Amino acid sequence: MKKTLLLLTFFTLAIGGFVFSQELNSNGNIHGNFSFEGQYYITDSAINAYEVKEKILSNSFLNLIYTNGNFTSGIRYEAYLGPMKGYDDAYAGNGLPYRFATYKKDELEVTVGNFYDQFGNGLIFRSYEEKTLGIDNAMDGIRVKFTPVNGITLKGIVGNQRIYWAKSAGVLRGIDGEFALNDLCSRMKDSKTKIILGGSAISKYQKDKPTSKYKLPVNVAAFAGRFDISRGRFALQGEYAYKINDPSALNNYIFKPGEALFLSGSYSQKGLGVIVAAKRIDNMNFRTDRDMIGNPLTISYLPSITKQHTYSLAALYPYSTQPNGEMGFFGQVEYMFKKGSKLGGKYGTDASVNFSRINNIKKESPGAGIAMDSAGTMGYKSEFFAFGDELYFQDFNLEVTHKFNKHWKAIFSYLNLIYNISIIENHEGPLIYANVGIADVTYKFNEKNAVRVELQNLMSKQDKGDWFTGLVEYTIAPKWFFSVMDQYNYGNEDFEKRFHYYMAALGYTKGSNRIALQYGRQREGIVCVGGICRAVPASNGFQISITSSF
Amino acid sequence: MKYIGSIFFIALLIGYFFVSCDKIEEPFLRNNIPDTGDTGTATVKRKILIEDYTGHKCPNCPFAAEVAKTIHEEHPDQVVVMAVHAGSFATPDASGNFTYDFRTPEGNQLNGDFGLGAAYPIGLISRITSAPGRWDVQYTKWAETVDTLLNDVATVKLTLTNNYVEANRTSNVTVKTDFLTDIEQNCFLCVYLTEDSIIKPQKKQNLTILDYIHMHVLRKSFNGTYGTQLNSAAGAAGATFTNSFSMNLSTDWVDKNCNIVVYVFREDTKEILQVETVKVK
Repeated sequence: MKKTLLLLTFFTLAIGGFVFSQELNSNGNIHGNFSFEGQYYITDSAINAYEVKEKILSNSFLNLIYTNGNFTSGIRYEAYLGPMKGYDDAYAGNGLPYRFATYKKDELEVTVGNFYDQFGNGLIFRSYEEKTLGIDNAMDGIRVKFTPVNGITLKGIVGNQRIYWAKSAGVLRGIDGEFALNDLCSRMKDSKTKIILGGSAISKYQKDKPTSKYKLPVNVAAFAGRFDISRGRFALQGEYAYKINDPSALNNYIFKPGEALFLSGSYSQKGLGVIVAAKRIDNMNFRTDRDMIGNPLTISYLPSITKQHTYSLAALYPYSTQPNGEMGFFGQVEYMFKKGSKLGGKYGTDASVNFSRINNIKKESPGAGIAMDSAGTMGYKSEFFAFGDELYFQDFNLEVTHKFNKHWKAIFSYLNLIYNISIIENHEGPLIYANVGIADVTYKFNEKNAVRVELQNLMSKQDKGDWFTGLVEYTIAPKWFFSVMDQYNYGNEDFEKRFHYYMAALGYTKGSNRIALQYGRQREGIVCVGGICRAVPASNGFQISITSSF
Repeated sequence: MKYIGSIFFIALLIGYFFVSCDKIEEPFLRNNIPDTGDTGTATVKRKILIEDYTGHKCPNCPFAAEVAKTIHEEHPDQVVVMAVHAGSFATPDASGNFTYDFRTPEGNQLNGDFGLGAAYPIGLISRITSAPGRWDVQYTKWAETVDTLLNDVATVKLTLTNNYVEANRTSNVTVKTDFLTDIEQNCFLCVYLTEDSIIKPQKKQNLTILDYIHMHVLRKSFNGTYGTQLNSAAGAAGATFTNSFSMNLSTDWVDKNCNIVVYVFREDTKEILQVETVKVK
């Protein structure tokens, strides 16, 4: 521990080269977490799991955070030796890509080094890490938070973004303010209506590219305004963002400004919850490198409003946000049938209905004789509230959770999906219509022992046809779990591709330490978190994962 | 409530100084593009070289070849493809279907120097960097990467003159290189020979296609893997170099299927600034 403290102290002094005095008390503490994931790969060319020369690949990291009074500093060690399949090979290597120091003095909080942050919903700025997607666009720079009075938070940032083991050439500068009116205005102090307003602005600098035939903006700014109003059971939120001309590889170097609007409203009371949401995105790809494609170096974060499914076949066709343009809406009603009622039974029944639909935006040529989306033009004109004709994604789903008695509990789900593979996965294919039925039944033997069975069936006449998944999981709380699973592509038109993707796993948890082993096949597919996706290649082999925190 | 207005004002003021943006007015085209003059730059487009690193025993490589073919068909005047057989997937077997040796010393060297050994198929797109210190691009990203270069203005113009002497199967090529903009780095000229329509076995997933047609196969370089240095310090706009090279074609190669691929690259970034191709016969 002494060594670690020394390392942290040294690092803290080294990173910024700044000097400040702050009283450290003797109650400093170190905490952190560790994760190791490794796989031994077995060649299985039938399912496109090709030879991995290294045989074993692994991703791991350790976070170490030291806190003492108003002072915090930390480092993260990462090792990709080599990166597991599905992660970008550019991550290969190991080192300390993340280090920071923060102190707070009265109204001011200063962070130097790396940090994650976002303005509002993230429409114009979100720096975050999502390990499952291989995304880490951590900032490396300075962040200052200032709270002059209760109810006002001002935030300023400047820095580069992380790209794999390097930093973006482009620089970001931004400011955000949030104002809680109820705290600021004495007349509103006791009002039932709570209002929070926010505004932000950000600008990226990227040097000119002399070989481009277009006049490229080297400073590109974006602005956003937001509100959050709640009164009793009702809440309403919204954010609008605007970005000036930003020709990029992803928008085919058009000069049209970008816009985004997110609105959501909710109502909740005991036993009932209603959420509705709508969004429009128009040319909002925003990165520190105009020529970058894929997931790196994003500045804007455009969350998906579709429901994120967790059952494997429900998540077979996930939606991915289309930054160049999309319009959609979402509605969800959750209702709890009371205990003792006909449908509620002894323990009550939870039911949820959810619907979302995403289309393209309506576009027209920007001027006579100019083809739509032509490079070096305004690209297109688009009416703000007009839906386009092309459907990108639709999801209607129902979920019912019911506890029958002390032993039996079940979740039943049904989904009806329409998935535009040519837009979402960017390769040719018909619209995919899929129906999915899922039964998830748990039988509890006693306080410690339980068995859970999951049966899922997906039916589709397109793509790879029908799928079935069966899973049995046995848990000995709180330490052990064992599971076996098979995913069977029984409806594939190509008889030779009716593969079984079998998997067996066991896990041991004690306190904050967890070890899991897994053996089996993983189908190729897409993993999405919040509308951002990563393609995962097929694999076969042994997997071990260790997570721990202290 | 009274200080909300002033705080908004301060925030806006800070925002004004803090955030800068460049609003570009139409026309969006640069007006300083050299589009007249001796070199005739108005017609010069930047061409893009797709180097497809492949092997006859590589099960996924035919998919990459198909992607390269599609991109080439979409931009026939702006895209040149070269298939480099190297690495363990290209190693010939002692017997069986895969005894033919497609490998070349040049291809082996490039494969090693660009660190491409791990997973095939993989490609280089005009050797632009895909990440700091890396040039490799997955074949699923070739089309997107090519798209980012299609609108670039050419910085170098290459003019090829080929004279093929059928009697002794000798290809004589003269390359005129015109620098259209100042390039303050050493540049090298490479002249390679590729051959189309070689019918030899190829793995495709778990199948072996015995009569697979191999296209754009790198055969040999006229002037070494990294070619001939053009300029000792800076290629100033207007500088012109003329170089001649010749090569006897191996009897194993079909002359009418052979192409000469010529490119110029920067020594510092390794980026290929321009590429041209001409048929041998």
